[in-house]
Amino acid sequence: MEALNQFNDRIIAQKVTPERKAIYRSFPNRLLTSLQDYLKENKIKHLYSHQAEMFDTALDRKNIVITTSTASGKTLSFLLPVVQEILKNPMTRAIFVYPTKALANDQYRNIQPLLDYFGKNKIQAGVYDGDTPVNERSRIRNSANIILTNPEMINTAFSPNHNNHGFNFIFSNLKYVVIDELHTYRGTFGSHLANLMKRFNRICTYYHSSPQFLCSSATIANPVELAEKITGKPFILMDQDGSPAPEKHFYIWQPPMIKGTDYPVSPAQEATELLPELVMQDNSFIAFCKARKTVEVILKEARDKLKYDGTNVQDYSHLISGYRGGYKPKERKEIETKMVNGHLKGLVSTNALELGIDIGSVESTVLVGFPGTRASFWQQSGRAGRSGVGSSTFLLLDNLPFDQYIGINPEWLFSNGSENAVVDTNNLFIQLAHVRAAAAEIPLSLDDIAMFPQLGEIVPVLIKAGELRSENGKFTWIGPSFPAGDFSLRNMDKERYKLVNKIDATVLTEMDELQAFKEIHQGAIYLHDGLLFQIENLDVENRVAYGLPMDANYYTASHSGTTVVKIKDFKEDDIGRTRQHFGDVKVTESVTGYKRIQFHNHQNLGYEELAKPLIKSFETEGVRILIPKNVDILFRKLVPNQGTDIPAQFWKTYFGGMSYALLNATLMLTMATKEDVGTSMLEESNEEERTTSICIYDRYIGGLGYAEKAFDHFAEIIQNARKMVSGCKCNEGCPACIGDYNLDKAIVLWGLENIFEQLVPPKGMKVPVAAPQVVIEKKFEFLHLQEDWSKFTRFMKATGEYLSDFLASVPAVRIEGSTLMLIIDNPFYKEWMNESDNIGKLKNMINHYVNTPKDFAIEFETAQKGNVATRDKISRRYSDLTN
Amino acid sequence: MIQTDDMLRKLNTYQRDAVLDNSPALLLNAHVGSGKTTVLISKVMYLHLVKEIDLTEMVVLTFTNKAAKEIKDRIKAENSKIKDKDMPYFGTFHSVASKLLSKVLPIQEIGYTNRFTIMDPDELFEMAYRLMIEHRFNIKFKNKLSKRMEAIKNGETLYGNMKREDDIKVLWECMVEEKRKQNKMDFDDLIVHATKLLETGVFTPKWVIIDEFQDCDRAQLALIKAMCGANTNLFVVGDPNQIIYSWRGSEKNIFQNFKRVYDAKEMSLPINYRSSSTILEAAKQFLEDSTELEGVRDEGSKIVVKNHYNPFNEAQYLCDQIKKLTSEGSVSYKDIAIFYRTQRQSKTMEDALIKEKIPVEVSVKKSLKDIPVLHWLVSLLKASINHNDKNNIITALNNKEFGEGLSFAKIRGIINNESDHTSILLDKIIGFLQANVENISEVYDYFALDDYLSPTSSTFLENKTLILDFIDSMKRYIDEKNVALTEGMREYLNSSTLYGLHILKDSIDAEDESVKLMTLHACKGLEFKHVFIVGVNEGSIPLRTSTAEARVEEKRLFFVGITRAKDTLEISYYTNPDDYRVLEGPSRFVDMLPGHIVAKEESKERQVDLQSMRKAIQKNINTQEEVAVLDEARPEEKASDETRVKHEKYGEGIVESEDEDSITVVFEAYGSKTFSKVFTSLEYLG
Repeated sequence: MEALNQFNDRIIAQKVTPERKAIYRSFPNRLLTSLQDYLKENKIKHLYSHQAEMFDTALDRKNIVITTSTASGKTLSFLLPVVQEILKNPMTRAIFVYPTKALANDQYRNIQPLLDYFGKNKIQAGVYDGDTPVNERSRIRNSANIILTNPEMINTAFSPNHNNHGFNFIFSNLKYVVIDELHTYRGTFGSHLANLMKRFNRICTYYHSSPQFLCSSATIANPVELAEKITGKPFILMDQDGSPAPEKHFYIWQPPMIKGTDYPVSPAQEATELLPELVMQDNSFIAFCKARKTVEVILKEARDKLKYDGTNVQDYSHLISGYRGGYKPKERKEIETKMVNGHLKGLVSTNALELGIDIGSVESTVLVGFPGTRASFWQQSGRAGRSGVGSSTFLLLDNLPFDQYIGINPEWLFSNGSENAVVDTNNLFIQLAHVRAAAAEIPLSLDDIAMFPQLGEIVPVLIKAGELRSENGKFTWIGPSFPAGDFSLRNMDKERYKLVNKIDATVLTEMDELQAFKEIHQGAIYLHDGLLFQIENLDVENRVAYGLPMDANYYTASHSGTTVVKIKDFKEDDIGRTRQHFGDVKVTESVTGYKRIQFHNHQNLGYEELAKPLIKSFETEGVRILIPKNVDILFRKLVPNQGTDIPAQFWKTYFGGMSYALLNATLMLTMATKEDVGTSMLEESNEEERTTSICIYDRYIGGLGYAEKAFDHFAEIIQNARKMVSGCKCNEGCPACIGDYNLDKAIVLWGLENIFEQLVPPKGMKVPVAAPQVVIEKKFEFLHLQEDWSKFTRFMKATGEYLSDFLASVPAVRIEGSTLMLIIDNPFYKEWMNESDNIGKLKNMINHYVNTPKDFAIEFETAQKGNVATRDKISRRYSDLTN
Repeated sequence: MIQTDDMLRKLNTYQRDAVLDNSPALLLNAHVGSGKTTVLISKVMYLHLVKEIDLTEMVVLTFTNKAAKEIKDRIKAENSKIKDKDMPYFGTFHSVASKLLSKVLPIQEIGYTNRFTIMDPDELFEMAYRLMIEHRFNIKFKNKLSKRMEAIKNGETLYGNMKREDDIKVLWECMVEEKRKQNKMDFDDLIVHATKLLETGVFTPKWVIIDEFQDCDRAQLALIKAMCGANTNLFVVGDPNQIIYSWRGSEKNIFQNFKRVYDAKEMSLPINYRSSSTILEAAKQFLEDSTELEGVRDEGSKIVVKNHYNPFNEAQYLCDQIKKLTSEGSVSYKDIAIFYRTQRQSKTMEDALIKEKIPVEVSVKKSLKDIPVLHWLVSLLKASINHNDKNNIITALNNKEFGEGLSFAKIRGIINNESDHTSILLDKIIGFLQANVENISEVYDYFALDDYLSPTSSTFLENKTLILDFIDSMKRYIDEKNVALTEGMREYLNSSTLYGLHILKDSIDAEDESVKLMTLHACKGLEFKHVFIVGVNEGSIPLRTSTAEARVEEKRLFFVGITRAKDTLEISYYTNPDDYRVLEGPSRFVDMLPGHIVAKEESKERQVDLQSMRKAIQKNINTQEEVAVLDEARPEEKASDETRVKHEKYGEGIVESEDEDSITVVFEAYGSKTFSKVFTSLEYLG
């Protein structure tokens, strides 16, 4: 940090965690000599304590979940017992499950040296996913000891074909199943995996194999519980980390306010200051952003700065790169390689890099906004310090409730444990989906009752539907041909949109529908690895958008909103003083227009409406609770921006605060995640009375049963919400309990209690405390601009902003009242400047860095001297040419 | 004579007439299950015992070693004094031709010696490839080389749409020369050369008896013709309804032509003793002309038609079903057979039965080339004992799976010392004779075969076992013959090419107490009390065929399968056949079975919506009441304007529009929805 003194005023809190010394163990006695030789060959003379312990425990046939830190050599911990088994018996099979294809490929590259060392007659491995070519698939099925794959492949390839194509050999000889990044399997995805593993275990039993499970997880509160729920087996926890960790510095970074405005600089903009500085100081880093677009904007702006930095002759912009989903696998691989061998200094990434993709060691991590959970925070910050040198993590706070709460109370981040990962293995819909698939795999027998708790209810329905037949005491599948294909493990859109480069007809990227509506609507600027593409049109019918490469000084941000309307109620019930309803609702997300935002100074260049809004809506199930009248009245009184639409500022209101508390309690009860369940408010008018309800709905077409479960237990949910809010360690309300620290939790609690009993509102409202913040003065004063002109243009050049080169070519200026006269030597430039919105952009830019008067204007003055001659000269030369 | 009388008494009139008939040429039209083999053996016995014709004067030609063996065994059983050597010309066409060439015919006239060896089709193909490279022949359509060689043999030189001829003809001539030089014959050569030499009249037996006459091809007919002298009698037995090998070249209109050429008398065996009348009726659906075929048994039980999800699930069902059948006591495992269309379908069934400890025997007609690892091993060993055998050196090294995957050019470079490449395997081949391998058992270690079998692969153990068994069997052969190692290996390796390996059975043992699994082709000539024919899906039974002729043959094949069943027949088709070439659902063969003889359960063809299913279950759990039936009657009549319908999920609505496939309904709360008519159940509300 010493070297980054210029940012000292931003750091509002810091924390140092001490260095952790490595605990080494000599090679376990049982470790094969050939494996010991391999390790020695690779300069590994001893193991970390947890690696040795994991090896011994695995050899004792225990299932293990390991939660040691990101850089602790978890891969080797898995590999030693697995490879040992393979070397002893070359028919051994092991399946390694990764949540993403990219991770499986990365891990395959990691074990490549080991494969090369032992040779293909001793050990083989391969990545088996949707992209694997046919020949390679057949080699893997036939000969690979280690198969790296993902849950989708197990669902649609391994399990349904267990008796074909050599999969039976794999199942028969399966000794190990490795599930990496276990913590990613939460909520619906986790329920699916748990049910998938039930099917998987069933098949293993049929082939008389009983594989051992080795899992790894990020730090979560309940790794053993999660592992046991997912796999259905007992587990041993391995959390004593024997790997060394350097001293780690955590910096909480508050972006400054700009004087004269009421908004702080965005963390993205701050990142574009910090990252080039890290590059120049040879400090390697990963910057984590929450959105793909942020990645691209930061990348472009940081690169601009590295390109035009006046103090450096060299162009350093190639030293950083983006990294996110949407880049093609080949691009990602290239980036990973460059990062490993040091050709890149830093990556700007989404949470794609949160998982264990190996990109070598970095010294710093920059978190552009709080990633949402402490588990993620630790996972991302853990990416720094791999090499054993000291590491730094910068958490750049966003202007969001959670981030600002951390600004007030940084200890919240460090002194609390990680979140629980919840998973409901008995979700009826998911169970039904997997029972159907299981029946097609192996006929259902009485043994399966132990596996699927609702089998007794599911079977009769399937028989009536003509999908099962009772035969010799078993239930045989006679339904459609591919029941495992009737559902998706992740709540993913099946509709994929392509973005095509109109120049060469190449596909730039693919994305799901909602993302397409937000990012590649007509007129949008799509950024890809720092290149800009303007979208000409989005063809919704054919799910394709066409973009043209262009050079613009702005990007776009779409404007979207979510609304919920009731379709039809199935049940309703009294609850306390009010009523709750359960039924079908329609959730609509619409993109209506977009803003153009100038790079670097982030000025809004204007709003554009879409000719036709892009609407994505789905029907699902929701539970709605009517807000009691007295609560409704008070909540409305407390709405911050009176006169503005309440749903538009939902989260800033007490409706939002109450919803937030209820949603948290619902997630706990239904064991779902925020990806599975959503909440919103509905305003309805009937008989001249306006009512407000809070709706909690399943974020899954048709619903998954979460909302219905909430309806059945709503009283309990309200009680739990009260307990969670009042029991929260914060004093007056925080983003963890009510979503926004600006709200007063006493009011939210009062609202919750009023559902059952009419109470008087609490006295004395909380006055929100703002997190410490610095204000930055604009660097230049308007009145001094005439004297400081060359200093100003040098500074502007260093920012890399659009038009800054032009400004540098203006030799002098003159101040006339509130008008800035630019003295230029060619009247044509004046005309040019007046073209389109060039002058507006220039004003924006100057405004951003200079304290300008209110009626600030720009004018041009032409210095004629010497120019006529030049023009005549050119004119003559030209007529020489044309005559 | 008592034996003969006794034997004749057991025959019915048709059968007896055929045995006693003395025409110089007789064509016996033997219908399915009519006692053909009995008649054939009775005929041989009758000729031998009554007519006192020496067995060496009879040629009995069959299509399988098994059929020949069965005839010989039955004769040996009738008279224990008769030994195999007394019946030298009882056997398959190839083995009889081979025997004639090495023992009787003046083989030197065609430039061979009687120590010739026999090449299998792959060896022939490899020879072609080698010559092509050596002589730099320009050959087009290399991927169709075997077809082209077939064509050139039949005198056609052009192939496909070719503007000018290539070197195929020269290649062929070159090959003929090469084979002669190496004293080698391929399978076809055996027949062709024997035919040519027989035409000199050196060998004319008194009787030529042919089984499964319908399967004869042109070359075989020529061979028969060539051995028929003025005093030779012909007795041929066959069933035109069982022509299932025309893809292998059996002659069209063979029965009519035979009658014309030999002025043969025709007789029939029309009575089927085997199958229940229900099964026979089912079988008749697949015959062009079924008027003559008659049964004598009673109706029996109906033919069961069953739908299974996939082969694996069916295998589970069959295990249970077989256990049920056999637990009743009257049925034993050997009474049960399962037929399928292609060999690759057997594995699933076999695995499942073995898992359930049900004894099973799979009929696998395998030649060496069907077992890649042994095919490679034989090349390797042949090359090792004869370094001039370039074909086999190339095969051994070139093989991608087991060899070193070297290209022809590279191999040639190494052999001619023109290359820096080395080959460990080649060094071992060259060094074999000098290595003083004393015991054949050391061969495995000498070549370090583990390294070539990919030890991590799923087939490693199987391949290793095959090789060790092969070596073991070779060892036994050498020990028995008490010959030198190299000599013994040479003999053994050559014999394995012709007779199939000792370790492989080319047919099943019907008496073995086990369930039998086989293809429809392999089931010919057998019978079982209980038969399951599985996978009667379009694309499997019948197989996808391009000609009308082939389609008719598929029918005959199915006919053959059905007529194996004596008491019960069960036919199944799959929802998910595990094979992209096979379509979902029953094939038209299933529909061709008359309804009154079939017991089948109606499967519901309907898409089920998971969400509404979940809701039904949820409702069930909540109320503990009967689940509402999801399936509701769908009226046939078209909905008129203002038709009100009720939907499971959306409630009541008004039909807005409809066409052939879809219907659009406006619901109060949900708005307009369009459904596929087939997949939606709407209740019409008057």
